[in-house]
Amino acid sequence: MKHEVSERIGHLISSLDQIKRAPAPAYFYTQLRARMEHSPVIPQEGIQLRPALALVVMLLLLLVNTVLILNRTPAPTFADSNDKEESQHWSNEYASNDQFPLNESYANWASNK
Amino acid sequence: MTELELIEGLKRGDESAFRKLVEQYQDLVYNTALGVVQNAADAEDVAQEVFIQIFRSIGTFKSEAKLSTWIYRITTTRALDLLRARKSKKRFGLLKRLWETEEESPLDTIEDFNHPGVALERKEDAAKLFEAIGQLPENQKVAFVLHKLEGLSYQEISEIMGNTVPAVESLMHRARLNLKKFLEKKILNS
Repeated sequence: MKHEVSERIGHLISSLDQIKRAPAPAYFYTQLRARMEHSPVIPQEGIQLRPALALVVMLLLLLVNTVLILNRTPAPTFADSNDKEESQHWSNEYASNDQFPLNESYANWASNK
Repeated sequence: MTELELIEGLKRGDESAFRKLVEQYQDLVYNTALGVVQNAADAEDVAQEVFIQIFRSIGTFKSEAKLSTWIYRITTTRALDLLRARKSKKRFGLLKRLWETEEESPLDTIEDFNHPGVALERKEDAAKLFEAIGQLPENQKVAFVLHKLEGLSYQEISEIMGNTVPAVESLMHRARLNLKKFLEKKILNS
């Protein structure tokens, strides 16, 4: 059985031994020219265009990045808001203290005394 | 017209040189493509693309290499590209079929490929062998097709594939082993 199988495989593999080259279809050149005329082929253009396209895309990205960076407004930090809250707290506390009201100048306060 | 004159003519964009090139190499290109893609319409499409690429990039061809080596390289690359595209289309088709009803989905018909250069009494065997060749990994497939269908030597194949001769020998050895395995399974199952 094994011998039969290997003999059959050998037979199958040798089936291409005297194969002839398949000829291209008739009117191959005519059809090729028709295809080339439908989509005009300009030698080398594709290759030359690619770096230019890549450069334009890169410059655009760079421009967008620059504009975004320049237009960025700094976000209020935690420290900033903390300072404001604290000063407001002190301001309220001093304003309620009639001995030294913050909304008056020292000169006015002293003359009233 | 010598090969050098042909190349010079192509570089000048000479129409008659291009016609001569196509006439001289169309069978080589078509037969190689047919061996790899195993479909007449696809092979014709690949062959046309090969000549368009030659026309486009003849300026980059260096005369140190043989023109036929360069043409074989373009042909095998294009044929493999088509196979890859066909594979990914098939995968997408399988996904698409999940959402389709049974009536909408076309039947998967795998036709036996018959190479026109095979003698009539060997057609059936050759079809089985071509089915097995279709299962080979890309490099093994290219080496086997170039050797069996185009009758190229290992030296010529190594120049086309950019490999050494021992590497091609190894590819051919592995290709034969894989073909035997596939055919053995096929025979035992039938």
